[in-house]
Formats: sequence, structure tokens, C-alpha cells
Amino acid sequence: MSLIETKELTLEYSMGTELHKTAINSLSINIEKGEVLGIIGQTGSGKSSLVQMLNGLIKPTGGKIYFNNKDIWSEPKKLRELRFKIGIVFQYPEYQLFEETVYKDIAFGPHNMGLSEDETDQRVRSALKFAGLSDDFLDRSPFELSGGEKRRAAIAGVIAMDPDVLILDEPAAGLDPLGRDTLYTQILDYHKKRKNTVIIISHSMEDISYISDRILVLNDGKKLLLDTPGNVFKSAELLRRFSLDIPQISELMLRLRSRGLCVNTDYFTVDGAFNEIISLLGSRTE
Amino acid sequence: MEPFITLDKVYFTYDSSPAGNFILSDFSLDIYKGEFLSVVGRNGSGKSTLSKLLNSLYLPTSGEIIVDGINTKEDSRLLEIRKKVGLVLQDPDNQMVSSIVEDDTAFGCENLGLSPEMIRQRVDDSLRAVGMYEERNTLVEKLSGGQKQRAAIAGIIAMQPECIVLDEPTAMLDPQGRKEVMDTLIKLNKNLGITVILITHYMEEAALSDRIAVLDEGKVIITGKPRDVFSNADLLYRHRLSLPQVTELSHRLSGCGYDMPYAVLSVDECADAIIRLFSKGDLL
Repeated sequence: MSLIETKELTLEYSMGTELHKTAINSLSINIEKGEVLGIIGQTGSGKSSLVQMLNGLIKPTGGKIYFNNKDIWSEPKKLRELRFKIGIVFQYPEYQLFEETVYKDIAFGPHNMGLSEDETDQRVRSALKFAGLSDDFLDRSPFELSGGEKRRAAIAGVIAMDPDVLILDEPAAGLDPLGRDTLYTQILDYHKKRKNTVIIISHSMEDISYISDRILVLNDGKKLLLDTPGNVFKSAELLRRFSLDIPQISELMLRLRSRGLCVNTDYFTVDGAFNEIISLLGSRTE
Repeated sequence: MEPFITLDKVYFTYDSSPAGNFILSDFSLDIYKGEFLSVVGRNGSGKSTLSKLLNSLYLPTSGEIIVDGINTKEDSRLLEIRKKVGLVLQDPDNQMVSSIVEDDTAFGCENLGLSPEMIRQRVDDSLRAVGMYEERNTLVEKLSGGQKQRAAIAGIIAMQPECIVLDEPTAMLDPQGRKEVMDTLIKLNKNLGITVILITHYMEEAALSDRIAVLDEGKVIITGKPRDVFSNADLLYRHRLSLPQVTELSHRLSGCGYDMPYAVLSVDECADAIIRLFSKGDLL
């Protein structure tokens, strides 16, 4: 049984006007419990619309979304509860922070869930740690933080609700390479400890290939591919046709293969490619 | 060669109290006319502050910045400096002022007090230069991220600056948008001779420039051609930077004694070198 299932999910904006646009077009996908799902696609491919529908922030104009086999719109009154279970960190964390201190900001979700002061305090502190910030940050204003720190504070605010599904929309945009790695490592650590489901939107194929169990490629509101990273990047030509990038290493392995070298093209990380080439070179010179 | 911009022992702080920490400290760098310089560095290394110092949006706390012979502290020549050095920011939505593309492109020119004919000419030329001429009557909100950022660049070029500074112009864009912006910048640099200073987190983009400056803790750590900078892998890692995947792979192969060329920059170069390794293997 899938944790989340969409059936012919459709979202149209400004119907009947000149600005009419189909953001999501009859999309049917399954998201499994405990997986890390990466979502990629061009700007305007419907990524953000899709995740906002998953926790009921936007109402679909057609089709259904099931969470734990239950149509989330069958009882609109229960949507509030759903949003505690499916938490979204938006692309611009600065829009998501609003309290006077980082502490109050992170405590906002747990408070609304009706948790006791003690439990809230515990949640705030552990969420802050998960997001990689030290306790000194708790009394600071979220608005005097750097971009990377704001992002961490916003992530902590969602983690504090301990959602079953954590959705992150471009969590690493604008972070330096090490900041990016650290953030993803922390998200993965959290995922491993909590065994929750994580959905990450990213433009970076390289980032998403490292962290995802499966990747959903969206184009024009439709599913182009939904498969393991290795299989997705094998479709290099298809991805390029839809103006999507593949990791440099995948491109390299495909190039080597087309030039007659018998490499396994499943690799998309430097480690994978390095080991593959070293072992091939070893077998050639023996 | 005379530098176009000179930063000489620049210190900068937002906090004027004695305990205030310096975003830039003892920062010196020469930027030459017509070059394509990439500036890379971790978050908080001082990159964005640098971009705002270059066209006098900020003034150094101490030290001097000379742009084409003018000290950025000379208040009376502020407009001259802003005409010479145009700034493009990360989020295109924060710098579009009109709802129609060509109106937006014309905004800067209108402020320069040019004749309507002259403005028309410059707007058309700039939109052509960034490949947005066909889109000139489009609503800004209908553009993709890459198109918006190119329109923002057109608005700057229309003022005919000698230099454009771009602060992470591709951070919000998808791969297609990123490529459009990079292609445009390379074209403006090569065809029109505009000096380009690109602040970026993408090492693959920096690899395409003439020269890279690596910043950390408000100082220049190293400058050089991409190949020379990338050959200092350990130094880059120490300053929280990474290498393009193919550069890293070729480093690791040469670390194992394989004959790889000095700091590989592209997929093609890397593929050629690996194929060569295997053909040598045949001879053994």
C-alpha cells in the first residue's frame, strides 16, 4: 500500500480566461512509505503546485489524492490535521519565518498542534539540532540570520511538527557546495532516524541523484519518468530533449560507452565512476 | 595592462561598533577590461558585499576602490560609476520594474535622459543581444526564470556599461535557464567586449570564465585561470568549495598514477583522456 497516491490529479488555473494554464495534467503516481522521492522538472513544470496539493494547500480541479488510502478532500475539516502530518519547507524560507525569535518561530507548529510547553521545548531543541543550528540561535531574530541559516530555521520549524512526510522545495538553492552537502546529509540523517517519507524538489540533478530512492521527472504537468536515479539518467537523450540536465558523470559514462568503452552507465557519482574505471583499467592491464 | 577596477586594501563592515566584524578585510584585487571573471566562495565569504561595493552602492569602511580612474567615494561622480558598472541581482523578480518587457528594458535608459529615438535603438539592440527581441511585448510575469533574468540583463546593457556585475544570476533558475544566461554572458563578453564579473556557486559556470577569484573570510584566497585554480583541489576543499564532477574524477585518477591532463574542465576533455588511458593499456 502506498502512503500517498494521486489519481488523474489535475490543476488548472484561471479557467475560462486568457491566462488559463494547466499546471498539473492528469498525474497518477504512488509515493511509498519511507522513501526519498526527488522531483525534477523545468521552471513551470508543476513541481511546486504538485507538492502544495499533496498537503491540501491547493485544491485540485480534477482527480484525487489519497493519503493512507483516504481521499484528503473527503473531509475538508480534517485538512488541518493532514498538514501536521505532511510538512512543507518552501523555496523562500524568509517568507516562512515571522516570529520575533527563532525559538518562537520553531515553536509555532508544535504550539498549534496543542503540545505542552515541555514537549514543545523538547521538540524545538531537537529540531534545531537536526537542522544544524546551535542553541545560541534560539534567542536571535530570524530576520538577522544569513540565507543559509534562515533556511535551516525554516526547516527546523517544520521538523518540530515531526511530520510523517517532509517536503522540501529547493532546500539548497543559493547555498555553497559544502552547505548543500551538509544540509542534505542532515536531512538524510533525520530521514534514517525517523524513517519518514521525504520529498525533495531540486533543479540539481547531481544533488538529487545522491539522495533519492526514486526520481519523478515532471514536464508540463505530466509524468515524464518515475524511476531509480540510475534508470532515469540512462534516458539522457529524453531528459535533454526536455531541457533537463543530467549529472556530469552520467554524461561522461554515456559518452565513454558510445565511444566503445564497456562501462556500466548506472553510475552518476564520482565515487561510482572512479571505481568502475579503475577496475576496468585494472582488468585491461593485467 | 592598466586594471579597469582596482580594490586596494578594502575593509568593509555593516557594524561600525569597535567589535563589529569585517565582511571584507584587507581585500585587494585588480579586474581588467574585457575579462570574464568568476568570483566563487562559500556563503558569507563576502561575495555579495563585493558586488555592491563595485558600483558604489556601498562604500568601503577603509581602503579604496577605483573604477576606471574614479574613486567610488567621489559622491559627485556616482552616476558616472553606475553608468560604467551595471549590477544584476539573484532574483529577477526583485529588479523588474515594468509589466512589459521592453518598458522594463527602457527604464534605465530613460533615467539617463536619452532621446526617445536613442532609447528605442538601445532597447532593441539590447533585447537582440540577449535573445529576447521576439519577447519584447510580452508580459514580464509570463516569462520563464531564464527569460526574466535575460530581460534584466538587457535593461542593464541598454545603459551601455563597460562592466556588468552579476550576483548569482542563475541561482533561482533551472538548467535550461542557467544555460541561456551563461550563453548570453559569454556572448556579451566576447562580442561586445563587456567586462563580466560573475558571482556564482556553480563551479561548472566558473570553469567557462577567463579567470576565477576564490574568496573566503573576506579575502582573496587565490586567483587564476580555471585550470590553475581547479588544480588546487585541496585548497578549494579547505575553503568549502567543490570541483566540477569530471575535474574531481580526473584528479582522483591522476592521484592513482594514471596519466590525466592537468585539471580537466569539461566532459569532452575527460572522456578523451580516459579513452587515451585505455588505448595505452592496449599497448602494454
